[in-house]
Amino acid sequence: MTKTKLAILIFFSSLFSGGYNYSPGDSFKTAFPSEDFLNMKGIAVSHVIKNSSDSLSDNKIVELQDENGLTIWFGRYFYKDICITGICRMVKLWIFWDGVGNYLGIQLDEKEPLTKSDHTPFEPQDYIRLDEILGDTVSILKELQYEDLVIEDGPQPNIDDIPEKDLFEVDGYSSATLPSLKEYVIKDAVFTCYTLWHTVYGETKVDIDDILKGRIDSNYLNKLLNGSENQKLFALEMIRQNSSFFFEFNSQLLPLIASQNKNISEKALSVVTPQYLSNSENQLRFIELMDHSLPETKYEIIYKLQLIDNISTDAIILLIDKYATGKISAGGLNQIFKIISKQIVTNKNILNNNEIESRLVQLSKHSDPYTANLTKNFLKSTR
Amino acid sequence: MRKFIAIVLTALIIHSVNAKSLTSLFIEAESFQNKGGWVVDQQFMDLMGSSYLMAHGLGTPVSDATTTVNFAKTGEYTVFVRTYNWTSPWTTKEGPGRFQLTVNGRALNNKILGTKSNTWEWQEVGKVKINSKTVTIGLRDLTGFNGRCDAIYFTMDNVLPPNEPEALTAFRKEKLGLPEVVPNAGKFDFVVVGGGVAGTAAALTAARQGLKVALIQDRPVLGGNNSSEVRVHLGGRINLDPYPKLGDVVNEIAPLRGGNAQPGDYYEDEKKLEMVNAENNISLFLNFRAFKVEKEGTTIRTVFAKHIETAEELSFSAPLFADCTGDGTIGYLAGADFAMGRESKAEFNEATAPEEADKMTMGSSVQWYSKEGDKSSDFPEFNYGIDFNETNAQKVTMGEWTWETGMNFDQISDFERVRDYGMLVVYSNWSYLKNKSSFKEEYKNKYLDWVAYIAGKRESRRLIGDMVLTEQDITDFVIYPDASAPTSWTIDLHYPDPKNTKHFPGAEFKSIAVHKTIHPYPIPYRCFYSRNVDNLFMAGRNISVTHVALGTVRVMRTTGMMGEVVGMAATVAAKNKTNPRGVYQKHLDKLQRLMTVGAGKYNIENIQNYNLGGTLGPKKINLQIPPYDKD
Repeated sequence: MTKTKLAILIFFSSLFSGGYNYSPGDSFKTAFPSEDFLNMKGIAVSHVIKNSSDSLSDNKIVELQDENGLTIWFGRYFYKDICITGICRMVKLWIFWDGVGNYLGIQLDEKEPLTKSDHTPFEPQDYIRLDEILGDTVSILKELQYEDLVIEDGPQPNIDDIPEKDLFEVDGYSSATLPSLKEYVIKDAVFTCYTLWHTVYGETKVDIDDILKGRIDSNYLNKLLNGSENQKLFALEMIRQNSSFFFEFNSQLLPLIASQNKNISEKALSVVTPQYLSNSENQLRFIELMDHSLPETKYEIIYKLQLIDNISTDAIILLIDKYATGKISAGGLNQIFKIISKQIVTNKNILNNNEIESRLVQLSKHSDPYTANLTKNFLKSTR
Repeated sequence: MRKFIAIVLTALIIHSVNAKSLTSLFIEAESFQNKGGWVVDQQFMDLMGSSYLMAHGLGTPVSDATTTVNFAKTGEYTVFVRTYNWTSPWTTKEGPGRFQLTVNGRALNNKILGTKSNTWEWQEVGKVKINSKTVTIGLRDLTGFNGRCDAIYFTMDNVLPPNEPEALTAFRKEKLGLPEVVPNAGKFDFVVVGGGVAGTAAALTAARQGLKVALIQDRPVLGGNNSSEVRVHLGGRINLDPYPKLGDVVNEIAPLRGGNAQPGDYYEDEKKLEMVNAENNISLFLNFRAFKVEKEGTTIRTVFAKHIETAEELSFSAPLFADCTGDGTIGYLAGADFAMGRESKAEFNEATAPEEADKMTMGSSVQWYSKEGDKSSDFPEFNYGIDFNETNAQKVTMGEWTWETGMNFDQISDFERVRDYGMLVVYSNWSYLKNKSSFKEEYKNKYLDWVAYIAGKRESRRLIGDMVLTEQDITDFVIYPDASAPTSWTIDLHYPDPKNTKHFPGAEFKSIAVHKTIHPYPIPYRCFYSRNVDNLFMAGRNISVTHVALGTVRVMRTTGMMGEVVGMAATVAAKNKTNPRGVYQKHLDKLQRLMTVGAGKYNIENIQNYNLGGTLGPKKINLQIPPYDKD
């Protein structure tokens, strides 16, 4: 964060009786999702942002922490005129991010609902849609300029000016089309959606990330790894970016690979370094994780091993045993052979290892012809 | 898989290389013993009469292809080579696919071939004195830009071989000494033609139910568009209602990782092959392409297939056939009714159909990717009629499905041109990026690592069944009693990319997709057999659907499940001595039973989580299915 921050520790209840003209409790009824963020218990910390180019009305990021010093949320109060062709509407609300900087929700005064360009107030479903839009990290709003938002009765932009990936949908992934923008945003509140989305993912988000990154040390990572799913994911990403932490935390990290939560499992796998896997003991530990991991994680473990130059004979034996005992299904045998093939290039004696050879010979006589044929062909190809 | 095939093939190869008469020697290039860096291209043999060798070197000359032949007589021969300039549709310049013919390692008359003619033809190379009866013939590539050679003819009689297709076919047959009576490949209950995902799944399913199956595939690998040769990943969802076991076979042959235009390993060719090899009831005929059928009335009796390297032929007779060729080749040869192009809105009242019917289809993709090298690398200047510049160049490092060509051409009769245009634009654009662009510095170390030469085709003939699936069957969720394999992908239709049209009007090579999301919808079984060829099933993109409905059913997890259903229906038909329609009319309950039980064998976890496609989610299906137990 290039700006100077001033962190002030204050009690929660006093925070909002200050300069916001709101007090906690009755005033805040409209929150999306349904959390009443401003009445949560915790310790409030205020981060003053200087030289903000974000023309928000307030220059503070407020943080609510739990007793362990982990962030419950970051919040920023937003009041700003949103103007279209000279007519402006004041928008006032709180925006919240979770303890690792993901969008969390919004909260506003029921007496000052959001309004549309026709001056009618948002309906409940409009708030729900707004919450969904703000939670969409890859929203079509991301690449659009303010000027692009005139989607009805206005001139269409030159086709060459639209980023190609926003122009049409592609196989399997939805992207934007200008005609589809009006389906995506809230009718008559396009500019509100746009402005709020860019606030959620704009400068404040960068500032929050900077606050969090500034805290990263062993102690903080340890707390995060014992925290919520998002905190675990954040900690893993920080460790991935700074592999020196990996060796300190690997005993905590490796079990996360066997997590039944796919996001955590994938992220934990991404942290494991080739250096770690070049050690034969570590290879065995890594393979043993398969016993309790999600099916797709088993294969990711195999793919990771396929990239390693020196897989030990013990690790190869263990992999074959995992297959023979059904811990790896038939779909994985060819992938195990790819690991062995790679090792044979540098160590031709692998297949002369009695334990490996006897296991492969056994597999080549397997009652299931797929296993038997694949193994026979593999053995033939290596001779 | 039966082992006799390898023995037969070895015999065939020896035979073809030695095909000769006393005063002439005819050599099919694709039968060369050592292919060097040349590849066998069989995709257009129905058009130009044969498969051929092609120097697919991505701009770097490939190593020589060579073969040893035996002449009956020594003496002076006139030599002809069948070739042409593959860039001739776009330029009058001499073509880039330059190569030479070598005799005992020396280029014959230093003649440069591959540069002239806009159609396949015999071109004279010159005269050569053959002093020894055993000679090594070679093809020497000079550019790496897809020079191609069909065949070589040495003659003492100085008679030019015929160019006219039928006469040339007869000439080949005579010169190769192929037997008049085509050998029979064996006795089968069910012959599946086409070893893509649909055909492979059909063969596996039927074989596991006890049928003796022949699986004929015109490439050395199985998987079709999902093989390492084309590299399109699987799409759609498996294991859906009303028959959640459908998809178990697909899951067993499916690559574990997704992604288009990824390294070849991703597509796990060996898994598909060994799954088939594991079935004793399947006789696998790799490298055989079907080219003729014989019928009795409206029933196919025999399919004939030709080896793509040796040109040797085999016949396949069975009571039941499945056309999983993609192009509906078997149906076409058998006179099956088919559609091609877009139906008019009036024909089926489809919301997405155009007002007027036309011939437009979705195109074919020549996918490619580059890699970053350690040092700078050169790429030759390549400009053969399609000009790239700062405003129209594609500043990319890979091209996947959006590199799609030929939507306004015939995807069968113009297919060589369609595929070639795909390669031409890849090379032309890359040459511009590397040599002329203002950002060429960024491309200094990059090199082309892979460009497909087997094009991934999306659409051509759709054989017409007892029912033609339409858009509104799917969008209105009309459930028929013969509901079977589910389609879950969006109605995903491709069009020329408007940006590309602006720069290359009428010669687009980039596409866009327009999607309409659907509820997973079970396709009626009646879309899986021909309405006028009695014993012909179909699975894959050539089933009975409109152009619009093809948009959803064409992805490969879905076509694989069609294969499973067809394999099951073939089993019911064989056991009840009926035909595909008879299964629908009299034995639908038996098919339902098999679909309920499924044909999976290995209990592999379903981790097919990639490229599932957008969906409106499951919708309740009102269908009476007896509560079958697995027994």
